[in-house]
Amino acid sequence: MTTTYDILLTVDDLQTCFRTEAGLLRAVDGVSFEIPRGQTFALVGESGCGKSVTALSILKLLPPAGISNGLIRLGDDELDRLTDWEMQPVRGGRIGMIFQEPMTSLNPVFTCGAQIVEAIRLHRECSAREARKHAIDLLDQVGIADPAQRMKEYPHQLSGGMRQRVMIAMALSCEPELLIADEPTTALDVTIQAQILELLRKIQRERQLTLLLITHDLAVVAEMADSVGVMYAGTMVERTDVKQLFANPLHPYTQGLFRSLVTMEETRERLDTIPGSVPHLSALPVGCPFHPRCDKGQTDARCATCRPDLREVAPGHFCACYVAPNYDNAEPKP
Amino acid sequence: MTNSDNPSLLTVNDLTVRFPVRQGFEHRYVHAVERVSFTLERGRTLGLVGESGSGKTTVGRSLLGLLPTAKIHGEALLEDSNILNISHSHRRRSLTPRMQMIFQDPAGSLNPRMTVGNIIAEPLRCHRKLTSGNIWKRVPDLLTQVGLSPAYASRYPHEFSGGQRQRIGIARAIALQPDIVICDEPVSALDVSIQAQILNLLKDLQDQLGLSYLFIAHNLAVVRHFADDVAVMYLGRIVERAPADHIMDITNVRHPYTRSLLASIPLPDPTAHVGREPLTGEMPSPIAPPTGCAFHPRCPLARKVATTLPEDQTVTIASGDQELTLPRTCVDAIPTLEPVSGESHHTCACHFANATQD
Repeated sequence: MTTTYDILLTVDDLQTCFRTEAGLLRAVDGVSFEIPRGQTFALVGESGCGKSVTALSILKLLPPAGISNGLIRLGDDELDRLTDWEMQPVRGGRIGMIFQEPMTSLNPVFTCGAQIVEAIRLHRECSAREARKHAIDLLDQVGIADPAQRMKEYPHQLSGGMRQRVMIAMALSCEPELLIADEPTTALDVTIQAQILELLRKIQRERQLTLLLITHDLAVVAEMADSVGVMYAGTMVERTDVKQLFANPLHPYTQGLFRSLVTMEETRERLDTIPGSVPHLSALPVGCPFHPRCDKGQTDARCATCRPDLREVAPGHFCACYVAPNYDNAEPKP
Repeated sequence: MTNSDNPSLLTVNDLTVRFPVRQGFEHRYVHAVERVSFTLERGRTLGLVGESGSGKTTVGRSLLGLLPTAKIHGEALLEDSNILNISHSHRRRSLTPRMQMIFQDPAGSLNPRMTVGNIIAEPLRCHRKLTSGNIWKRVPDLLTQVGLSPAYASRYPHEFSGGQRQRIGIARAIALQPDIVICDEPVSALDVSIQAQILNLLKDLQDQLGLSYLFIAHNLAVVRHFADDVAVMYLGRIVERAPADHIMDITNVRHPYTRSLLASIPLPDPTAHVGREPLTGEMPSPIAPPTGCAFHPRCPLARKVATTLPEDQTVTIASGDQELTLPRTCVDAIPTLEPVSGESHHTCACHFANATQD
C-alpha cells in the first residue's frame, strides 16, 4: 500500500466476536478499509451486517462480551493498542460520534447545554463560562435558532431534527479529526433529513472533517460519500469509490440492493427482490455467506465450499465474489 | 385491475380529530386532523403521505376506533353506515371483521407469549363461529398465503426476522378476509431488500382477495409506486390529492409542500447535481397551528409570489429569527381543496396553485 495521500483512519483485518450462550459469534470478520483525510467513507448494509459494530470497535465501545482484533490506526496512533484509559481523550476528542437515536443518546435529565458543556470541559482546560460561550457558538453553527434559549431546554422539549443538531454540535465540540455518523438521519423525516445532510456537508467543507458514515440507504450514500464499502453478514463484499459502485456494481448482493430500491422514476409493477433474508450469525452458510440468496449462486463450484476474499478486480474496485469478472486473475490480498 | 364504475367502499367526510391537552390551567386541543375527506374504492389503494405529526396515522386509527380519548367529528361511511363514534360492541360485531390494520413495528404488534399459530387464529376465534378444528385448518393456509412455511405455526415471534414478523402481522390482518386493510408504515422499519418483498406480497394479496388499502407512509417514492391515488397531508389537512401516475411527473405537482417533499428525497445517483434547497424550519405545533394556510411560515412559493404583489396585498410576519413578507391571503385565509385545471381528479389546497408552474 502506498500512501500517496494523507490517510487518517486505517482499519485492517478487523475481527469482532461476541461471547454468547450459542458460542462465539463473529459480528465482523476481516473488514479492512482506509479513509483519506477530509473524505467520506460510507459503510452500507442491512441491519445485522456488522456496520455499527465496526464503528463501536473503532471506538472500543463494545459491550463486555465483545472481543475485537485487528489493526486500527488513527493518524499515527494505533488505537487497538491503547488501554481503555488512554482511549478516553480519543473518544469525543479526536473522534466524534453521532448516534442514530438522538432521543436515547441524549441524557433526558440534563439540559442540552449542560451536556455540551460537559463534553467540552472533559476534553479541554477551560472555565465553565468559556465552555458555555463555545457551546452557544456551536449550536448557532449547526443552525439552531435562539441558541442561548435552547441551552436551557431538555431533550424532550426539542424535535427529532433539533436533537440531532444538538448531537452534531456535541460531536463537533472538541474539533475531532474523524466524525462517525451511525445512521444519522434514519429516524428523521425526509425534509429534515435533507437539512441534516446539508448541514453535515457544510461542516465537512468548512472544517476539512473526515467522515465515516454508516447507513442502509443507498441514496444517502450517493449524496454524501466519496467511497463505499458494502457489508454482508460481517464481511465486506465490495469496496470502491462511489461513482464506480453506482455505475458498475459487481457483487450480486450490491446489484440486488440496487434492484430492490424504489426510485422516483418507478414504472415497474413488481419490485425485484433478493429472496430470503439475512442469515443469523450463529448459522452462517458454509462458503460465500450470500450464496443461498444469490441469483448467480453456485455458478462456481467454490461458492458453497470456500469463502471468497476481497480482491481488486478492477483498479480501485474490490469485490469478494467468484463470479465477478476478472476475479481469479486478481491479486488475493488488497 | 381497476374498474371505472367501482363503487366507493369507504367515504370519509370532514373527519376532524382533536386530542384534549392541559397546559397549566388551560384546556386546549391538539388539532391532529382537520376536515379530512376522501373516498376509498373497492380494490384500490389510497396512499396517505406526510411527515411525522401530519396526522396520517391518526386518520387510520380514528377509523378503527383506536383513539378512545380523542374527540372525533365528521362522518366515515363504510358502504352506507357511519363507523365513527359507534359503540364498542357494535364496532366489534360488525366492523372489526371488515377493517383490519397492519402496524409499523412488527415486533411490538405481536404478542411475544403467543405462538404464531395462536396469533393468526385469534381473530378467527373471536369473530367466526368456527370449531377449533376448522380454525386450525385455516392457519396453515394463511401462513402459506403470506409466504411462510405452515410448520412455523408452533414457533414464537422472537424466532423470526423483521420481514417474517411483518408477514405474520399480514396473515393476522387478512385472516378474517376484510374489505379494508389499513397499512400504517408497513415497510418503514424494514431493510430495503425486505421492503420490496413485503410490497410485492401486499400487491399479490390485493389481487387475490380484492382488498382495499389505506396505505400510510412517509416515503413518497414508495407511496407513488404502491398506491393508485396519493393524498399529501400537512399539519392535519390534506393539501394535495392526485392519481399516483399523474404526479409521477414532478411538473404536474402543484402544492409547494408536495414539491418540497419530492425535492427532499435523496437520489441514488452520485452524478446527480446536489444543490437543492432543503425546506427550512419544522412543522409547527398542532396545538396552535398557524393562521390561514398552515404551510405559510415555510412556504417557498409564498415568498416568491409576495415579491410580485403590490404592497397592500402583502404582510410581514416574524418567523424564527427572520422576517418574512408573504401574501396576505396565505396568512389570513385557509385554502380549500380545489380541482386543478387539466386533471379532474387532481385537487390542491393552495391559493397560488396555478402559479407553481413557473
